[in-house]
Amino acid sequence: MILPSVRFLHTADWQLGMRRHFLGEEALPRFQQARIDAIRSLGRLARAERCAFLVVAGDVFESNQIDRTTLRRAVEALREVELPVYLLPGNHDPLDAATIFTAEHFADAPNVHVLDGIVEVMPGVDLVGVPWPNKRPRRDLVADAIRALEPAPQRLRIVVGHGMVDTLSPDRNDPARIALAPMQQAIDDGHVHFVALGDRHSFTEVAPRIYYAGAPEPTDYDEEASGTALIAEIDATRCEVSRHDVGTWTFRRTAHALDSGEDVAALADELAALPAKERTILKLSFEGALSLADRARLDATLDQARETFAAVEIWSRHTDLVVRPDAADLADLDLSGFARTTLEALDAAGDTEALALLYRLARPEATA
Amino acid sequence: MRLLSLRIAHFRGVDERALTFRAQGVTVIEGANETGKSSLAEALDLLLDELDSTKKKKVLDVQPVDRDAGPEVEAEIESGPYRFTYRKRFLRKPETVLRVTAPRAENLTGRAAHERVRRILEETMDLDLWRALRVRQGVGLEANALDRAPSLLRALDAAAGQETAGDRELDLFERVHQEYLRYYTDTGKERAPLKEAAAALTHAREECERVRLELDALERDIERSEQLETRVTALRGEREAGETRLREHEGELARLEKTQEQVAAMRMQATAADASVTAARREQQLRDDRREAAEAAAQRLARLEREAARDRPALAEAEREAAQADALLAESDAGATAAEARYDRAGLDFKFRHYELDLKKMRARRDAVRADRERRQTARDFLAGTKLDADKHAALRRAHLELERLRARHEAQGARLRAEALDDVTLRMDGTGLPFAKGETIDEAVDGERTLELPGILRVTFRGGAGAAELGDAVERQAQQFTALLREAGVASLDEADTVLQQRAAAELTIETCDQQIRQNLDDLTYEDLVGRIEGLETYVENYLAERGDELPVPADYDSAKRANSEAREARESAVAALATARGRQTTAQERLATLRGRLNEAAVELKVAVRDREECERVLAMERERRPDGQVAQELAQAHTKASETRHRFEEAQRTLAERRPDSVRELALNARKVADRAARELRETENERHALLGRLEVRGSEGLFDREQDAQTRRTRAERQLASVEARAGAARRLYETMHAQREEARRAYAAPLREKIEELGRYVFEADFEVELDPELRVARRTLHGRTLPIESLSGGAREQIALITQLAAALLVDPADGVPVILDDALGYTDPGRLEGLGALLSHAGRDAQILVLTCSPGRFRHVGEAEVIRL
Repeated sequence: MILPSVRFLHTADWQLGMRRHFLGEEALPRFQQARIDAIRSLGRLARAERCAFLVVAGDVFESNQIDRTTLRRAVEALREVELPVYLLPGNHDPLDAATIFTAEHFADAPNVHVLDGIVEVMPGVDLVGVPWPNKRPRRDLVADAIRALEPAPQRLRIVVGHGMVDTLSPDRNDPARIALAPMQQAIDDGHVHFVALGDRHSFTEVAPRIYYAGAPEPTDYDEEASGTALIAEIDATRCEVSRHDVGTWTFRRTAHALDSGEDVAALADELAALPAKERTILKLSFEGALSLADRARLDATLDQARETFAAVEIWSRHTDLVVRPDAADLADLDLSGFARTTLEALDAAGDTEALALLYRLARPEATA
Repeated sequence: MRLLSLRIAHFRGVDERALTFRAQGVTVIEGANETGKSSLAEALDLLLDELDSTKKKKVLDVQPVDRDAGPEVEAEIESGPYRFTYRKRFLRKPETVLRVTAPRAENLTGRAAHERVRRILEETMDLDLWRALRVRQGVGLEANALDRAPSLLRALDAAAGQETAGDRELDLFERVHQEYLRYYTDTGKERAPLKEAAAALTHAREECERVRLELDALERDIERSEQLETRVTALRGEREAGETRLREHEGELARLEKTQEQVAAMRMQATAADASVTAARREQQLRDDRREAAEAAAQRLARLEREAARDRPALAEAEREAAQADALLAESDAGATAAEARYDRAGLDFKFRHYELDLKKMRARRDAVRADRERRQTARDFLAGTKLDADKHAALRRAHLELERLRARHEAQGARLRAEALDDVTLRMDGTGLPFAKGETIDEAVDGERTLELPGILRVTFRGGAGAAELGDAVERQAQQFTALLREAGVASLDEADTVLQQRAAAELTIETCDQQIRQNLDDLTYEDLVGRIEGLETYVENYLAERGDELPVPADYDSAKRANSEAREARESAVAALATARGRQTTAQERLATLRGRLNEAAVELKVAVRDREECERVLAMERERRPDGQVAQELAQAHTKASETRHRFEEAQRTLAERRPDSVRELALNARKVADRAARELRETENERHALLGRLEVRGSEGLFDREQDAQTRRTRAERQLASVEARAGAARRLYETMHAQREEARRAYAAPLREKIEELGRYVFEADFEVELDPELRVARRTLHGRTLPIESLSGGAREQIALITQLAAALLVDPADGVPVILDDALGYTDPGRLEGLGALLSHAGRDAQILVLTCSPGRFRHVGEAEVIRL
């Protein structure tokens, strides 16, 4: 008997309800809504790509204790997906006593199923769901599940797991790491035909038939390839995988050397050229020395950026920017007597902040 | 600025007045009070500061009360390149007119004119300095801080060789100060922005912690729930196992209980057999007891009879002894009574003889007293009849001695008549014939006049001197006095007086001796007491003999009575002792008799009882033996013993077998198994209940959006942290900037205050001595003055000195500024406190200052500024 073939959408790490503290009161709701919207985008993609179902490999929710409004909105978006959606509880939303994955919560979306063990999703096709039973399982749940599988030569099996594969995780002491070898062995033995993983937010092919789908919307600066989803078509001999970029938000972290007015102007130009500013979160670090006037210009540039971008953070740990009054500053200020000696004393002490304040107070018209 | 002329009209009490001033140097305007001097300064301020349309009080105040005309002020002023005439009328037909003549002509009116003048003045003069350089009487230095006057500061900076800090810098300093005050008070305390940011952060942290605690509790609940689930499974197993064990133990227990019932029946049989033995043994015992009782009763009877036989002779002996003791006691009693009577009479006899002796002694004492009393009375009678006493005797002796002395003198000093008859002759002496035989002599004193006549032959007359006559008189007087004294003393001569005095002394001695002897004989009694006692004793002695009777004679005397008394006492004591002995012996005999009688009585009763006892015992024993002989009783006891031994042996066997099956242990095991099963079931129930409650709670908690609350709280905390960091950064920058600038400004001030101080000291030496020095405070006011080596704070100086220093300071400031920046120094009724001695120096000072500045002096005391050499004086 020939094994069936199946086409499905693999996604993970929706982290519904996630927040970022650096987002302001205006940006945060948009950031959160983008995650709900991503569900609908994935639904449209899956339908367009003729997928049979969607599988979400863990961390559907940021927490089991998220606001119920977020839950209801998510359920509504899931209902609109129309296709069957299989949700796996991950480390953020484990299947513990306080689980959010209860039948009553998902009563309005009959197409949604919570993965806990083996479920036949199509004739001859099983999903082997390996949910997190709590936040600290202290063992390799996927390896356990694979070991427990009975040989079933006539069935196509897709293991859905969550966690870091040992070859990617630097933490050797983490007992919950997923060992790659047993998975590969199971694939080689024909017991398992695909492993859909979650937890790593960047799209990653761990090994043939073993993938991280990536988060559909980015969540942090150091994600290399987030904002993705994966569509797989598999049977016993074939495994075709395609990556799809679905993210709408950007986390952008850049370092800048600032030593002149030109550098400040270049920074302003660079920021001005960025697209989709309202969905872009910036983290900037600076190095160099600026005059009082250039420092004032930089402050003005940053103030302007804060109005257009979703958020602008200064990476203070990596910022070393000094302010040195130059001849032009002194000419600008045209101070004499004790005011001038004050300026000189602050400069000698390297008191950047007091200098900037002096500049602002002395030239209110220049900084207004 | 220079004020060239000033005109006022309808201004307070002044109709119109116009004055012209020297552009350089001193102009003194003199006028009595109420002549409008001060109005000039006031008018200039109104002209420069107020719009003509103003209705301010200070303008209303200057309107004349008696005229319906508006106050008017006009001034001609030179300031920088400008020269203009400026006029204002207030309140009535208000008007402002400006005519500028240099550098180019301008004519303006109304508001435009006012604004133009303001601009010209702001451009060319220093308004702060203008206000600072006004000295009015009674207003000291403190009213005129100079440190805000830019012209002065410029001048001071220039003098100190520094860069000029001008209005911009002062304004900047003010802005820096204001920025500092946003975050801190002037005393350095934090203000609202800092406090609120810190409080907000604290609040946010607390909120975070609260939510964190809730989440921790939730986590614990989740963990607990898992533990409970594990526990439920374990408990179910425990319950099953417990129930199985319970069933096993209960089966064994039922079997054991049946065996136990059988053993119990055997125990009852054994007990019954034991009871039979006990009954047979009791029967045997009873028979033995009866026999022994009969024997004991017989023995006791025999013993009692023996004892009675032994006691009877003893009783007879005791009765005999008692009778003897009674007789002896009666005899001793009679002896004692007789001895007592004899002793009483001997005592009375002894007392009689003793009293008798006393009576004799007392009679002797009475007779001696009586004799002494008579002797004493004789002596007293003698004394009463004698006039002479020791004093009178002494007076007699003295008078006699004096008489002898006077006679001797008379004889020695008076004329003497001495004649010797050579032959028998008859003489006539003093007219009397006197035979004078041969060998006779006459030797007589001659008092007065004596005549010796040989009749017919010769008459010799002797006449003594006057002294001899007086002495003769004195002898006569003394002789009379002596005779009087003899008479008074009752004696005829001094010799008799001596004898009487001796007799007197003897009588006094007798009285004294008698008194003493009477006292001795009476001792502590009076004479009457003594007599009374003698009478009492006499009566006793007479009566005793009469009443005594005479069966025995009274002892002959005191000593034999005393001896008889002693003997009678000893006899009585012996009799009493014998009586006590007899009484003790009688008591002992009676007691012994009573004891023996009691014992015999008791023995008789006992004997009677013992006889009855023996009879009864023998009767009962005989009756029982008849019912069941002794042999049968013994046989029945042996049979019962044998049966009981067999039954008990069987029972003990069965019991041992049962014990080996350990029924208690089995029962405990069964009980325990039931408890285990019950406990497991109960624990299971409780655990399930707890788990259900926990799940219910978790469901509720789950719907509370704790995650979002935690995230919200963390966001707020992060923002609060950033806000605080931001405010602290800004506050820190503001503080450092302010502190730095403040320090720099202070340093600059210290530098540029030096020229002002030096100028003040230079000018001050016109008025004070050469060592005059001052110290300035940060506001450029004089804080301390040094003179003659003494430094004093300005507050402690006199009003005059403070006024002078104020003036000197203003002039120093005026002289320091650039002449182009200069303003007039107006002194309004100044130096009112200054003594004439200093006015000269001040005059020279003003003259000196006038070379570089315009100085206007308004005064009501013309003399005060007489010493200003180069002054122009205007008298109002």
